[in-house]
Amino acid sequence: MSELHLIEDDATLYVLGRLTEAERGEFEVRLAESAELRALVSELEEGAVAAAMAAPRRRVPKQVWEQIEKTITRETRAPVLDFTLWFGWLRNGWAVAAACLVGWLLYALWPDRAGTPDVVPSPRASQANVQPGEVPTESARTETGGAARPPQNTANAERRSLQTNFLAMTRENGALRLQNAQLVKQVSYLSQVLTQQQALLAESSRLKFFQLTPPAETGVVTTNAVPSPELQRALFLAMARELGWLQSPGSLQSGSTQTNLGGIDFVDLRPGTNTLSAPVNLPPQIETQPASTPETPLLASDSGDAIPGFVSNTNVFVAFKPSPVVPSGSALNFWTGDSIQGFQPLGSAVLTDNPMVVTFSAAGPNSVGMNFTLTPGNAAGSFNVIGQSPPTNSTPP
Amino acid sequence: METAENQVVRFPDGDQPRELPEAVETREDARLLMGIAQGDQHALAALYRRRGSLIYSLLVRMLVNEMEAQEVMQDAFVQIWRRAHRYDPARSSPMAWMIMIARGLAWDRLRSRSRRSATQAAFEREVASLEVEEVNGARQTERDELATACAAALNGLPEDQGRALQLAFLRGWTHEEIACAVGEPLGTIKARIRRGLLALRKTLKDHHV
Repeated sequence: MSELHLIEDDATLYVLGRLTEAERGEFEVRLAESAELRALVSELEEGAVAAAMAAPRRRVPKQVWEQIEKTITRETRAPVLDFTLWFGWLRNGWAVAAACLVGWLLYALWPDRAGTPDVVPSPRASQANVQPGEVPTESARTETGGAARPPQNTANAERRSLQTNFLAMTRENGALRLQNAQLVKQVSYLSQVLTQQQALLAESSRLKFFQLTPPAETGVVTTNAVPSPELQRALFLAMARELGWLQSPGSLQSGSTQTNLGGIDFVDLRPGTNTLSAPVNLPPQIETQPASTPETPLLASDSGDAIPGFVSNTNVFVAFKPSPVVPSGSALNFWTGDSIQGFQPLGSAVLTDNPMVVTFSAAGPNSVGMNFTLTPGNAAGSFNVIGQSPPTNSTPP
Repeated sequence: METAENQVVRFPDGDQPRELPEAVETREDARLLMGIAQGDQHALAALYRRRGSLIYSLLVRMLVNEMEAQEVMQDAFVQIWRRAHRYDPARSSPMAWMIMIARGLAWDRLRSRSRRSATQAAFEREVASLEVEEVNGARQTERDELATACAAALNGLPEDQGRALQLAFLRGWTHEEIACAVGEPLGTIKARIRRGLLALRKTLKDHHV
């Protein structure tokens, strides 16, 4: 209680400017460490401002600003050295040599130089009375003539200067420590948030939605749009099946690759669950056109040039419906890998008139993580890559 | 992309939250001090236009001498010019900082005038002088609404509290001198002054709200 009382008293003295420089420095260190103390000082300072505002308002005479302006203009004007004069002296080397000679003679012939004390003029009474930490006033400087100020009190001035510097450094140190503590706190908080977010994203049971896009030309922005209602319905049913909300009689039939549920064809290409669908008529060599020069817009759905899908655990689900680019009867060929590791077929499915959801595994024996590519093809020929993850400009063979 | 700065919380009636005038003034003062710290003389001129009258009025009230107040006013703004780079907005408001500089210089003047005796008679003389100055000042000049509210709050403080605060704040009396003059414990005087400042602060806040 008595300690608290003392701090409050110091805070009042600080605001009223009644602490000595040393006390002030110590108090500011404590101020930097205590938010409660800062709040009290802030309140007391506002009280001091109110007390100042209570004074009857006076108009400041014009000459006051003129004097201030004159002073600061004088201070900001940098001293200019006349270098030409110095160069002139340098040109005259003999003058420099003469100066050196005179200096040497003075040094050599100066009597009793070892016992000569440093010349320090006695301090003037008015300046000797200056208290430590006292700010010399501008008018006092004007009275003493500024440049004509004698070099007395050098030691005192240096000591004061050192004290002032030390206290300023102590204050700055306190403030920096406070800022550092706040920054550490913020970083710790952000790190915690990031860890939580990463943990959430890493949950295997979390469904992650995506849209497959064809490889785009450099500078071409691929647009992601809302999937059509048919594809949304297809994805919803696929999610319901995946989450166990819906049991499909068709899917329980062993060996079935393509089942129909509610007008949606479900094709499962995961190894061990189904065999490849019957009409896997992969062309011997799919002749892909350069991805950078598509002849037609690659619309596999109403969602612009993107194919909607989601990932659950290691299962990938993608939804299609017939379009001018991938008409009914087209075979959709799924590949894993990339141009470096080589493309491996995951399987194929034939698009009927119904919307279709194809499931394949991103963790199968042939799978290379989430690297997969989708190409359509039919008897008439082949098409460009219509979907790729991650988007690259490589095409399967 | 929307940044956090662009996200403005809107009140149900659609109005944006209003910033207190006090905060706006403080921010502008701080901005000018930052300019002064970078050597901008225009910023100093702008700060002088905004706050010069208030500081000068305080100095006249403290020194009871216009010539001395003008000299100290010059010194105060030269000090503000020189020390602006040391101003820390996290530590005090610009007004509090400037008032502290001006008061410090005025206090030096007061101290150099003469040594006062901490007696009851001296105390009564100072109080009487403050009251006379207050009446004269109020007669000669106009106060704005805020200044009137602050003056009313200062005069409305309990007599002991108001006297102690004014002598400490305007005349530079130490707590010990006041305690000795009125014959009361030092702790009582300290508490009076602190409570007086906090009461005035409440007036300022209430006026802005």
